[in-house]
Amino acid sequence: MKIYRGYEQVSFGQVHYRQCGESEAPVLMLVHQAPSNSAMYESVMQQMAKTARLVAPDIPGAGMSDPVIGPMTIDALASGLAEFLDRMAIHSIRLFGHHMGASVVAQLAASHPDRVAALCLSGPPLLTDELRAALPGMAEPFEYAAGGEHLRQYWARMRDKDPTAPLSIVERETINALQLGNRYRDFYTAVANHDLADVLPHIRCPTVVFAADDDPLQPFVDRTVALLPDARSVAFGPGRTYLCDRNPERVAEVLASIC
Amino acid sequence: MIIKRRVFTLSRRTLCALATALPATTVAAPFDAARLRNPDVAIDRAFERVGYGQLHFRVAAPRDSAAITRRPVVCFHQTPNSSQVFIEFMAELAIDRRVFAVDTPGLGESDLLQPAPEITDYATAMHQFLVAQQLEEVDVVGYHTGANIAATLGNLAPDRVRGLLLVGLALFNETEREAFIEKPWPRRRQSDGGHLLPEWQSSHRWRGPGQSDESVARTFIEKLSAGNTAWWPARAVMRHDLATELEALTVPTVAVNAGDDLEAITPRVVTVRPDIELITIADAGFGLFETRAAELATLARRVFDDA
Repeated sequence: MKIYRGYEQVSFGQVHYRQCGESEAPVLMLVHQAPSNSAMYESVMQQMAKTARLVAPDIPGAGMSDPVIGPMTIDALASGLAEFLDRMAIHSIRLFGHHMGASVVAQLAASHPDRVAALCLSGPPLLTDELRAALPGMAEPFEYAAGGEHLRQYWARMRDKDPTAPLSIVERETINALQLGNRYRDFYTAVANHDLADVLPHIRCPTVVFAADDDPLQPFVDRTVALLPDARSVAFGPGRTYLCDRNPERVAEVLASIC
Repeated sequence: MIIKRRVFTLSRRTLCALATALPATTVAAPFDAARLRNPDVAIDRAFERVGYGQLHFRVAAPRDSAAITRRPVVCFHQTPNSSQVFIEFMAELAIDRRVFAVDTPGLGESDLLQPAPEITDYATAMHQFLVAQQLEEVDVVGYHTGANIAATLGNLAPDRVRGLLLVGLALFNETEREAFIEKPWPRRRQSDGGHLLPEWQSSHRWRGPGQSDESVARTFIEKLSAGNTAWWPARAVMRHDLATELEALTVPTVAVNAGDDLEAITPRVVTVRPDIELITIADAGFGLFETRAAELATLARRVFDDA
């Protein structure tokens, strides 16, 4: 099924999105990780096009979306996407977020309990203090070098996330990191500064939580479930951070349970 | 500065307002607003559905719609890049008109057109864009590959295209065409990312005077983003008989030699169409729509408004 792309005008500029599926079906919004953009969901969208109406925006400041005005916080990003949904005239929604996207959709669900019917979190970044402190450094930009040595550094950083990933994915994510520049670190800083533990108890909708077996955020799944009023965990199986590209069938299977 | 080499059918008004280069951006791609220096102009991005899929484009316009008094301009970019190359130029030109810049199919954010298209296929898609946007009469700026597309569009829709400004003409001979086709592009991906370095170094080697690090990086990112089909529009250029296309043009046309890798090729227009004015912009090179935006906008005004 064809995935269409578009922009929605919001107060801080434009939000770029991908969309496909049945127009009358429940709406499922997919929110990406950093430094990715909505392109990481194309395979999942293809899998689920007959199950739901799928909307995948680029988070403000990523991909082709304009950044929010003011400090980039998870709350600001969630508010930006809430405004995007208003402009799209989408009132009742299911949400899925992976890594940083999980922080954003959790915040959105907590801030707008009346419009979120169900939630699914993949690799929720319920970080320890030690990881919070270290996270921004993991996205520190490398200095431009005339010979291009910085490109090897970006490439290695993206490949380390999943050394067995196809090189096409590594290249796409390297491009995304290059495009973001300093904003990559800003996104990680926003995640590190976000108090997810404080947000989770305010989420009223049914929630599914999972992480692929080798996802570095897998250890936080059980504690996330424990903090949510109405949640269950799902064993995803093998995979790492690029699970939406590499195992879209399994992701679609899990997401079907909230649609 | 601009040196007028040949003047024929179009206005002889002396060019003025030779502005200095715009300051380089310090913001990472692709936030257009951060690159605008003119608060009276707004720039938006959008998609248009045409026959084969979605075309992505940027459009700049004066914030006060009452200021629109001139025909719209549509810009086609070089390969492998996107409409982003025109942002500074669009901001300069859009004070009294709408200025569109469309991503070539398969580049930027436009859908890929398959199988590997010819220039006529690209021009057909752009004609569909004009129809869909209800652009009844336009002036067109074509840059390298975009010049091939613009000239072809000029012949395809002479009733809609009122003026052409062609920057960099790929009037290659057979030897040059064969040399291009034999050159491997893009390179095969390597597990350590080593394939990126020659691409990066190539982008730097062709850096234009005054072109910022960020501008070069944007060019590199656009090249990489388009993946294994990034070279398709260049392939189409090599298969396109631009000379015949130019000979057939009835639309008022001005050519520009921008001092880049087509510096020695572009002047061949003189033998193909002696009546086409050829202007040389000295010390321009790649990135000129960013570094020489005001100067090019002045030129576009002279070409389009006086024609």
